[in-house]
Parts: sequence; structure tokens; C-alpha cells
Amino acid sequence: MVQQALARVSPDLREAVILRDLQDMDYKEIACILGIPEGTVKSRISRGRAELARLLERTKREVM
Amino acid sequence: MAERTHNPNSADCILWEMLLADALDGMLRAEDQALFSAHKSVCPACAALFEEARRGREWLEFLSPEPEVPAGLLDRILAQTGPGKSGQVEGYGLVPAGHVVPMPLPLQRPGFMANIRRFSEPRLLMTAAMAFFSIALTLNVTGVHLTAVRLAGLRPISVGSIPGQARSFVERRFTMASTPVIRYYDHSRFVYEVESKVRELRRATEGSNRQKPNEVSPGESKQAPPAIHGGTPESSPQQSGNQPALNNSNEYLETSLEFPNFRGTAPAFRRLQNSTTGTEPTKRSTVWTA
Repeated sequence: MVQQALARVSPDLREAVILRDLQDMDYKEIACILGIPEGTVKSRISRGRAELARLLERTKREVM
Repeated sequence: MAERTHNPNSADCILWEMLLADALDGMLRAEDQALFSAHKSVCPACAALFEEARRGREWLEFLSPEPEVPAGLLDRILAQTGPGKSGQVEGYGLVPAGHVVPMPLPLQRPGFMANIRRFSEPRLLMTAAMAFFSIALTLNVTGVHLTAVRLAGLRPISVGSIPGQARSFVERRFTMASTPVIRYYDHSRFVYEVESKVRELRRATEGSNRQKPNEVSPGESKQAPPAIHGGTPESSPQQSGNQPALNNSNEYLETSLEFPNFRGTAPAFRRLQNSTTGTEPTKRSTVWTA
């Protein structure tokens, strides 16, 4: 369920979340890989986590 | 969607959003902590974003970290699924609580098959095959055929006598070295025996010549003086032919010393010795012709 929800997250936000929370990279490494500033990386990660939570909450309400 | 929860265009919200990741990681500095808390308290959108990001991070913890492989799991799997393992290996399956886990056999211990499998890698097997091929080729070149080798033939006493197998190197070297020695010894012995027999013959001839002048009166015999016909020491035992006239009596001396069946070294001299000792009829004939 979490995987399905993560697949529905926006691509830019999803790749940042995956690199941070699944690949356990630090922000500098993610910034180098994605080619964006470190602040943008942190912002995308936070937005991606929030979007994932909303998607899961919506899925949970649909199931209930 | 996150943009709808708070105002992304606000500078304070943008700065606060950058601090959010560190705040959730617990890496926020003290001076940033005050700014972060102050903005969260005044901006409901950012506060809602904080709660959503926190829940999303907790959800992601279900996916992360990846489950770690327990130590020895691979060996246990290989021990249970290896060749000859039809069922569950006793002692390494799921056993009810309180049951005593028996000591597994050496073949069933985790890691044993893994060790065997580790040495069964294709590159190691190819290396072993190449080594065997090289050894077999070398033996074949040297004359040793693996198909002719038997287990009984590998004993030290029978090495070199395997049918179809070449002699061992040491035996060949010994034979090559001993053959000339034996031949030289036979030749030396032959020469020595020839010389000794010639000396004996000469001595015997001289002795008989000393007796003959007393037995035969001069004039009755046509024989030449025997001291001459015995031959010189340089004369060969195989002499046959007419001797030139001797002395002044115009008598011809014909001496024949024969060694019948003279083919080898030792047998011929045994016959020669027997003939001189009288065990066989003497082959020496002396014919005096006028």
C-alpha cells in the first residue's frame, strides 16, 4: 500500500524521498545526484513526505 | 498538493520548509529551532505540513530500512536446498519451543555445503580440468597411457612393469649406464683369458719340446724343432696355415690351432680350457709335412 502510494507521488518529489528515506543518502549526495541545491532537496523531501501521507490518508478513507 | 497547504511564495514559509527536513531528522540547530517553532506556531499551513511530513516519514519507515539478512541465513538455505536434501534439515527447521535441537551431522552443518559449493565455482573447476588435461597430455607424451594404469600398478614395486607403460626413468637410466660397463667387463675378461690361455699353451708346448728330443732320435722324425712351432706370444689362437720353412732342413711346419664353435667369449674359453686340460679330445693338431 505504501509502495502504491509512493508511486503516485510527483516524480520530482518521489525521487528525492526515495533517495533520502529508502537509499539513506545525505542531502549533499542527493543534491549532487539531482543537480539541485541542498535547500531544494530538503523542500522536496518534506513535500514528498507530506504528499505521501495525504495519499495514504485518502486511501485509508476509501478503504474504510 | 503540498503547495496548497501553505503559501510557498512566502519567504518565511520557504525558509521554514528547508528547516523542516532537519527538524524531522532531529538535526535542527538551536538558533534554527527557535525560528522553526515560532513560524510553525503562527502559520497553520506550515504546521499542517509538519504533521503530514511527519506521518509520511513514519509511513516510509515501513519501507525502510530494508530488512537485514540474518547471519548464516544463506548457509542454512543452501544446507536445506542443496543436493541430497529432500526435506527439511533436522535441527535447522522450525522447532517447537522447548524441543532440544540435535547436533547436525557434519554434512548437514551450515557452511559445509557452502564450502563445497565455493570450490565448485566454474573457474576453479576449469582450472582443475586444465591441470588434469596437462598432466594427462604430459604422461601420454612420455609414453604412459592413463587407460593402461591400474591401481595395482601404482605400487612402488610394480612401477615400471605395467604392461604398455614405459619403464621408469630411474630404471632406464640404470640400464643405459650398466650396459656399457657389463660389455667392457666382458671384453676385458675375454682378452685376459685369451692371453692366459696363450701363455699356458706356450708353456705346455715348451715343456713337451724339451721332452721330445729325448724320445725321438734325430733322423727318424721329420718334425721340425718344436720350440719354433708353438707360435710367438703375438700369434693369435686362431692360426691355421702353412708356416714357412724352418731351419735348414727344408721342412714345412703346419700348425693348426682351432677353436670349434667359437662364437662367444666365456663358452669358447671354457671349451678351450677343457681341451687343454684333457676333458675333451684336444682340438690342437700339429701336422708336420716334409
